[in-house]
Amino acid sequence: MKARIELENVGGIRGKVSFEIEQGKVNEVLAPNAMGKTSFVRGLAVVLSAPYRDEFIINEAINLGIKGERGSKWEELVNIYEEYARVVLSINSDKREYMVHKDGTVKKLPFGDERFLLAGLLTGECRTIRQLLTGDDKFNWIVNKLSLANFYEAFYKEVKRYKDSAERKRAEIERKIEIISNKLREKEELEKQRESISKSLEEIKKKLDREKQKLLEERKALINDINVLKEEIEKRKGEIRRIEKKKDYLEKQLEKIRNEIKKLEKEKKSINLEDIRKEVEKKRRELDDKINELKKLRDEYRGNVNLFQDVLLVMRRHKKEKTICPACRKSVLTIEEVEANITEYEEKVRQINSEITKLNIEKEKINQKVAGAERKIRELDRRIEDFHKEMKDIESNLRKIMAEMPVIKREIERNEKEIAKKARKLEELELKTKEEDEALNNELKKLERHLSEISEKIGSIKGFIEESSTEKVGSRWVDPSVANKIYLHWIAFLDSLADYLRQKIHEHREAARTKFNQRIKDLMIKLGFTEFDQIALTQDDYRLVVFRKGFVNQPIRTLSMSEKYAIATLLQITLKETYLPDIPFFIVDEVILSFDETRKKRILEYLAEQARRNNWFIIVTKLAEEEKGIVVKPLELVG
Amino acid sequence: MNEKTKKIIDKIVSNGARLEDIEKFLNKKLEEIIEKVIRSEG
Repeated sequence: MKARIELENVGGIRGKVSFEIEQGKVNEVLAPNAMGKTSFVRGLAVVLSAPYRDEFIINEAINLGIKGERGSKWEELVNIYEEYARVVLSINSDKREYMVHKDGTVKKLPFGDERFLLAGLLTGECRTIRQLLTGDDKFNWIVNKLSLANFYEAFYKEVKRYKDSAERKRAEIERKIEIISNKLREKEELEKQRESISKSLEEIKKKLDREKQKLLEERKALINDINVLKEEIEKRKGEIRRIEKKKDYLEKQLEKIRNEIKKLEKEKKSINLEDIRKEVEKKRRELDDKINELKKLRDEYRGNVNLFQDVLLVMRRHKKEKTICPACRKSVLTIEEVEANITEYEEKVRQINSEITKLNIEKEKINQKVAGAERKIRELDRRIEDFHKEMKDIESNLRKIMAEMPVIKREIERNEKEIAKKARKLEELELKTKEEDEALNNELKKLERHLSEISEKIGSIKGFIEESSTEKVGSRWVDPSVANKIYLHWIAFLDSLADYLRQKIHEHREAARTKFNQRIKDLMIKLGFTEFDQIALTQDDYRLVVFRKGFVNQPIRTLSMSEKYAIATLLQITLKETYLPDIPFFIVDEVILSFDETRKKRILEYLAEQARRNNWFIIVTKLAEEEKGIVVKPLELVG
Repeated sequence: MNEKTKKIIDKIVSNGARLEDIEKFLNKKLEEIIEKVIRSEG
């Protein structure tokens, strides 16, 4: 069976070349200097070992020139004139491809075994030779990096990383829980403060209300008192006005009465009773004289009537037609004339009677005039007296009401004083109310501000608690206390896992050391390395010790160059057989060419036997001046 | 740690202790612990 390897732009190889390698054989890679033998080895090594995870092996890859230096912008594996390098290894249907850009970007990555760089190569640059050449005997990497201890170690490191992360997270959560707890206490404290302030506020408000109420009541009472007093004053003033009005009225009445009295006095004075009496007497006498005259005349006319009636009677009795006038005694009168005279005289009597009646009436009237005047005077006197009486009453009334005035005025004055006093008190009260209100309101505002600040703080704490109330652990959001428990369990699990891994690391290291020591011992015998009694790794610190004949320990640094190459060869073959038996490749360069022909032949025979027995592809590079390029062909061992 | 878990670990190691396998295993274990604790917390 053959494996096919394609190399494109790898190291010194520009363009694409491919080679076939035979399985179960030692294959020689022949080429003159600088024709790509090393590139061949590097290409094959990278396709079998990449990717690299372990720092130690990454450094090894750098040292072997199959990976660019850290921070380098040039990937050493890529031909300096090209953009990328590509290696394809095909074994039947199994195909591995590695492709890297010159900036180090890996485009295609096979799943190789990174340990191949430590145990699959026996070249001048391999770890073993480099270390032996410097005299460094610390070979603990053999048990650490090549055995499963390395993988357990990788596992352990990952577990450690998880544990560190879990512990960090747990510490954070504990801090958070503590902070939350502190915040809760702070919140509780603030809530107590808030409650206390709220109570104080309530009390102050109540006090303020009570004070206000009290002051309002006092104020109301004072205002009421003032109003009552004002009303009283107004009432009194009204009374004064009424009294003054009454006084005016009474005075006017008095004046009027006085005037009336004056008028009556004047009127009375105007009635001269004596003169009236005299005049009346005089008039009466005149009337009496007239009446007497008329009575005389009437008597005369009555005499005439009687006379003529007698004549008439006589005449009629005597039936006389005519007669001498009894009055004048000269003329003759007829009956008719007599009758006419009677009538005439009767008429005259009547007239005189009427006249006397009139005069009597007039006399009576005159008499009446005196009586009237007297009556009038009496009437006037009576009225004057009435007026005087009324005046007296009014004056008495006036005195009385005037006497009330000072009392009322004093009362008004007293009330005004009382009002002023109450007004002052009211003013003081209002000032006090204002001052107390201001003080209480200031206190109230201060407390309200404080309350607002506390509420803000509580809100902020609530927000913080709300925000911190869940913690993401794995794929779940849980309460921080639950998260803490999870992390406790998780850390405990990681601890037990770490314990197990540490135990496995130790077991595998020890097993690897024992196996390695045994195998190298066998190999020394097989390859006839009789100059050494023992080459082995020490217990615990895994140093390489070399015992010469007679079991004399020889320090590595004191070995000769050829001895170092010999030990390196033993070590690398042992490593390959011990740790990488399943990777069917082993690469050897000109290192073994420095050995004497017998040893070289023996080694090559041994390798050929191993290749045949294990179906390995063993590659041995060899300088071949006669070749024009790289030639790969199975090695033919003679004899 | 039980035998089953140890076997799983040994299998991961024998497969090269690939980071994704280790992470998958640890994350699964973490989820199991989370479930267990949450269940116990009721």
